[in-house]
Amino acid sequence: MQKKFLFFAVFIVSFFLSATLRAESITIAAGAGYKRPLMEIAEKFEKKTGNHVDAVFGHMQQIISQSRMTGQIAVLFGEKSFFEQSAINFVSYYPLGQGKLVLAWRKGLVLKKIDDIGTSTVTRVAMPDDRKAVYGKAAAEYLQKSGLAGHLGSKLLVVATVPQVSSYLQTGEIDAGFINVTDAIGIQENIGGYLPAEQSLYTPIFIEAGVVSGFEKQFVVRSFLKFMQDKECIAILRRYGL
Amino acid sequence: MEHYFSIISGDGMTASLMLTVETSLVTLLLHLAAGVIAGYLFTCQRNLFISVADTIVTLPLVFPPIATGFLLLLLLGRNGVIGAPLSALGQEIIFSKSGVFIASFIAGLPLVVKSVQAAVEGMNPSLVEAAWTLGKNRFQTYRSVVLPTISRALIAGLILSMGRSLGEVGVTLILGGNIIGKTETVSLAVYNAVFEGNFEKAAVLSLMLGVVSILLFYALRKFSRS
Repeated sequence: MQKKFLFFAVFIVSFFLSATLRAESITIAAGAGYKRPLMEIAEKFEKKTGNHVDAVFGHMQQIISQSRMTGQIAVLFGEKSFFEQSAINFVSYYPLGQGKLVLAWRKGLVLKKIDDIGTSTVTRVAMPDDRKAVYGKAAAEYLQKSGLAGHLGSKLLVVATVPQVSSYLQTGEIDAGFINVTDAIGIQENIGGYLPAEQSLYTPIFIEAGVVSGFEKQFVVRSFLKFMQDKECIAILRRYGL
Repeated sequence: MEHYFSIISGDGMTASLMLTVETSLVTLLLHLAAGVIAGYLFTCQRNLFISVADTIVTLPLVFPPIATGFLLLLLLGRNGVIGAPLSALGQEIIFSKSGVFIASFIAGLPLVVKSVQAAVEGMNPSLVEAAWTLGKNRFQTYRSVVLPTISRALIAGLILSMGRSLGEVGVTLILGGNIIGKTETVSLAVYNAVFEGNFEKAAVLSLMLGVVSILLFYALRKFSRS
């Protein structure tokens, strides 16, 4: 009886151990506003291949800094210009789509056009940091070119990331905020609505996957990048506005 | 050396330093008041109110700061039970200095209250009884007998809570919004600098906080020995 039990225990342990040894893992990092689609993609990738995805999210400077500090991030998702200005050596880029800046507003408020943020019904408008976040940079450019910057004054708040703006929108702490369409789609049930910003008023945002030098030959990295081009993944990205 | 001064004085850092000093002073006064009131309440007989208050005050000590911040955001935000009436009166807490002060106060509160509570519980009860026998009322007894006895514990608690408040990040991040030049404390500036990859700035600011913390620790040790 004891022998049978021992045999069974060894079998179970070796089964899980071999599964763990077989599975490889990849660490990816992305702009915080792309958390929802990337987590969906990561989950599908894990189910399909058995490999594990560790995902890090933050504003662009944060993920670039983490990549430099740890040297463990294989693929970064975000705006190409931030990658090109960084000290990280990228070996290749894979385009994911064009990002869109939107103005979202809280529940209980109705905005017909973006210019309405200049009216007295809107007392707090937030945007991500213009030096560290892709959509902060785009929002600052949009406000400047549209001439709205001069009308906002102290009602404009600059926070760190897109999700931070989204959180304050959902709790009703701010009346409106600039985020990306991806996050706006993710939170649409908890906000009043959103409107796209005129694309000619900010530099086009090309969201790409940058492969960090040294990781390009890893099997799991190649298989993840191949998976990103799968119909299933493209459908997810489209659903989130990319 | 000039280079390090430029780090401290540039990019909204003066505002951060001023805010941190202001927050420390405001929090110190609030903690002093809270410590004195807590001492008085703990001297009275324990009742349900004191037990509930004790639990709420202790909560930030064991609850994750981000979760504490989130709960406070729901309470103090524009639509919160406390925030909504205040907002109607024109007093906003979130994204303002008040939010930073509240975060700092709540983070350090358990340390000052617990120090006072331990001192009150460790007091010889005959001292209070003697004062009552001599005809002193509850307030007079507290002022002339209890407060002088627990004053050392109160000061030690204030030093500890100041150190804790200085290092607060999680609650301040949510209530203050981490707005550069407005609600960014030195601790948040370290947090931001690390994630921006600006390690030089992070190191200089960490060193500053470290020096203040060591001074506080030294003061606490000196005070305990004297």
